[in-house]
Amino acid sequence: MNATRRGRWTGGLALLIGAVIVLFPYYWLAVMATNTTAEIYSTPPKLWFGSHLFENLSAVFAKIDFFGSLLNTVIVAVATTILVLFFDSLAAFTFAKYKFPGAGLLFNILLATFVVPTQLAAIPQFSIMAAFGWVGDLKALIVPAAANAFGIFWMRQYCRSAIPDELLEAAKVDGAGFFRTYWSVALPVLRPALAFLGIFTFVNAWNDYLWPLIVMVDSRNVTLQVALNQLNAVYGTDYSQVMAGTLVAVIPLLVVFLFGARHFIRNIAAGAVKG
Amino acid sequence: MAAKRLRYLPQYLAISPFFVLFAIFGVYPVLYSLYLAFQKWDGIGPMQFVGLKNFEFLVTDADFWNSVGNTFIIWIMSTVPMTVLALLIAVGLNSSIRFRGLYRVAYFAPNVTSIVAMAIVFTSVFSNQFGILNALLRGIGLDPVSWLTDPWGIKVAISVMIIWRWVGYNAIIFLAGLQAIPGEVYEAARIDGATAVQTFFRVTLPLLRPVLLFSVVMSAINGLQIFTEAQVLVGQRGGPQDAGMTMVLYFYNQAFTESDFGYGAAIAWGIFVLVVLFAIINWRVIQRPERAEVQ
Amino acid sequence: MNRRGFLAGALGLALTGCTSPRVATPGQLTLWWWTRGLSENVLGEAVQRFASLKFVPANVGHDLRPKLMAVLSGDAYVPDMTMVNDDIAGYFGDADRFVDLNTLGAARLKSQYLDWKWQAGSTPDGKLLGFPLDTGPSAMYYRHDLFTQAGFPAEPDDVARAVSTWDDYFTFGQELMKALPGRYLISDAKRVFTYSMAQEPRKYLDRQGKFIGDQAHVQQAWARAIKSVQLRLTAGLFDNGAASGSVDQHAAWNAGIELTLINASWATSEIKESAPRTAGAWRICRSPGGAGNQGGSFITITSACPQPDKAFEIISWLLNPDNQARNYVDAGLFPSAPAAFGDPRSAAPDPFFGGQNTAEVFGRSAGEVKPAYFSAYDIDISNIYTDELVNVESAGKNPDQAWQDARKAIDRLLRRRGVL
Repeated sequence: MNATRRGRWTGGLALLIGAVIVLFPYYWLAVMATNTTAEIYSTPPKLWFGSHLFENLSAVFAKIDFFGSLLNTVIVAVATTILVLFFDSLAAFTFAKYKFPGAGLLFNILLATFVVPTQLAAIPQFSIMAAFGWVGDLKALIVPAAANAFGIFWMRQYCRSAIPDELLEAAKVDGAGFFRTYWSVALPVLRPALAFLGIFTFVNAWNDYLWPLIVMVDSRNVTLQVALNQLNAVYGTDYSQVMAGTLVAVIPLLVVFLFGARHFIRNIAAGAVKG
Repeated sequence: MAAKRLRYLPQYLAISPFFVLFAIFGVYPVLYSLYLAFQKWDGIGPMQFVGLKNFEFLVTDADFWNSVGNTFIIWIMSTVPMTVLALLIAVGLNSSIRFRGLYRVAYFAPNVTSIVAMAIVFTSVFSNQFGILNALLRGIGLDPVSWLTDPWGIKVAISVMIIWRWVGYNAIIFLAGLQAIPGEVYEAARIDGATAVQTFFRVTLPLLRPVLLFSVVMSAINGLQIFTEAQVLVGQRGGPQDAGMTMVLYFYNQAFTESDFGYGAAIAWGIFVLVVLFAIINWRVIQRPERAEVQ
Repeated sequence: MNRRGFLAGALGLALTGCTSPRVATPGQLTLWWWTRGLSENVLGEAVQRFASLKFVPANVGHDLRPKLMAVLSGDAYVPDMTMVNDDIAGYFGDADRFVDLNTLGAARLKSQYLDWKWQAGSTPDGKLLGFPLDTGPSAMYYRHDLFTQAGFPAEPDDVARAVSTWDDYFTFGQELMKALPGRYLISDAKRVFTYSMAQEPRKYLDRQGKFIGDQAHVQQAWARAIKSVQLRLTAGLFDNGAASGSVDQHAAWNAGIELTLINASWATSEIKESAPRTAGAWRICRSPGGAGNQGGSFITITSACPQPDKAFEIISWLLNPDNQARNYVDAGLFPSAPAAFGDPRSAAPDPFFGGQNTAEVFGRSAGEVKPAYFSAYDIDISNIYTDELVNVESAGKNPDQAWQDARKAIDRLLRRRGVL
């Protein structure tokens, strides 16, 4: 009994130390954001919060359109997330629960798109957007990201185990059609998995950089990550301002995550475990 | 025939969004990069057909193969400790300690944070002369390490960033796997007189195999695409002796920095081939023991 | 439509770009710029002044190249004007995508600008693509307070005399480091090579496109860099080009460990910002080995611009000698128009440098820089050499081996580019 308690105590301590190490970069981000650039570079480095947060922030707000770009980012992240949740879960449900000609082939094609090289996609995609007249429009960020292979793959694993065939049979007996079954039988069961995919998609949309940089040609109408990059100068950058901007840009993400965390974390592994 | 096809119309409609989007925004870029791999192009001017030259150059390019080696080394240096740590954290979180919810959020947070935003923080941690880590080493009487100039120091630093970002993610996955193991299994092991360590290796680990498989395959796909961590830590050129030059960083360097887009495309396809091979090998190796057991 | 038909359609549609405008914002004149690339005061005034032309400056951050590449290759949403950094030679091969400013009467302004800067913005066959914005004349920054403390000559003219050649500089540095232990003379070997090359009138290729990057002038810069390492004058704090690559050096300035710094004029703002507590301690003087230039940008007009003459009107106002002086005061951009050097605003005593007139030192350096030909491959070649210098300095690589390896890598590069 005593040994167990001691084991639990050391385990708890180890977890605590680990958490402190993992969270340290956030702490330091906050330290840098509240100090001046000079204080960041002093030796020994300054390890406690300074009093310059508001000064740094007001410099950031003066240099870039923080709130405008924040709004753009929120619109892109929310719209992308909703579309991905709908399209991915619908496709995943179909692949998991229905047999139709070509299903296997189509799914393999979908898996193959995972590893296809996308590093060079930005330049031809720009041409496509130009042809559509979408350059500089938030649509160019939302539409191409509205469905993705990873989400479908992962949700399919989840659907297979979470939706028993009997449930579908029962729906059929009740006379529910395909979409009705998806909407009122599958979706409610999938809620936890949707929480995971939702946060995952939201975070990726929030942090995306290179594509928004290229396609949002009008630099007065950009996303947050691109706007923050405007703070970097070619010669000499004021890092305390960059850190302050980064700090306020990270906070909304952490809030979304904290609220969604319970659902999210409980179900993040569902695809892996049940698959 | 038409009627039979129509019967599946709802299903085809349901899966169509992904395929339609991929056809519009994905197929053309893929064909484009395939086309580009046979051209010489500076990104702006006219293209010039060069046949297989880019690929011939690729297979004899020592810098490319060095980047392949680096990528695999960094992948191993990050995946192995990360998996062990994630397992430990998962086991810890699975026991009845206090503040479990808080811990889970804390460990997971790095995974939702932009690594670019954290670049300066990590540079300040690993900085050779004025970094916090070296200050700590000096404080406890050890020699400082040249994290950002020594070839192995660079690889360690990049691996640490990767571990930081992914350890919580994997711990949460493992935790869910642990929670899915029924209590009776442990009960049976205890009756057989197994120690805690024996139980872990003989009961817990084998039952976790599907979860481990998922985690390893995902980390293989992500690990072979390592880019940002290296770029923000040692710069576009990959650091001294190209020790931090990964495959994707090399691609980026050739295409966007040196404006050799044709060769960049050839590298992208080289990476594609390696990723596919690696994924197949991975899958085989991890699945084999399971099959042996079944027999 | 079958799949092939669809693909052909999509390709055709994408390649012709039929529904999208060619310029960024039709009806306006857009200029792409980046933070501190131009004085915001000057830009603000230009917006007022050219309101009838609808002049719109757009800050695109410093990742300009991928963005410019996408709009040029897609031939859509191209800015009317864009800043281009010192990698302008990389665009000379695509000169048709830009307007030759000589056709807009730029020649009549030529006499107002530094000749070498004007030439750096011109293609080998004489088209002027880039209008001179700022320059990066080099000088030696040094710690006046520490020099004094160690009993060494500390006034700019005396220091300049003591370090007039690179060899003198190294000898001086050895003595200085003996007197001030725990500090170092030079950040890294790469800096010695870069600023030694910056003083050379010949770079890596000649105007005929012949490779000269292994000749005596490069060997000399290389030997100097190696010597600085062998004499243990360097600290190995090299800038790796990452966003956060200079953390160590900034910390070194704050801690007073770096005694001298050979750098371009634009480093003044970086030092002031990251080491404000060293205010008054620094001075600048003529660099060992003489005048050189490193960096400096241009403004171009793209061929997509429907009103190049109007765009030129804006550019030539933005960059006239008077506004160049304001660029220097507001953003630390050293002028390319000599009339601005002596302007009372630029020539004001700078308290950060103990009341020194820094513009005078940089101006003299800028005036002595010799015209040089920069090829599209210069930056890549220079990177290969400096990569190997980093290997020598930080990993103890054999210098001869490093030179061989650099030569081999350059050979491969130039073969692939079709130069050799």
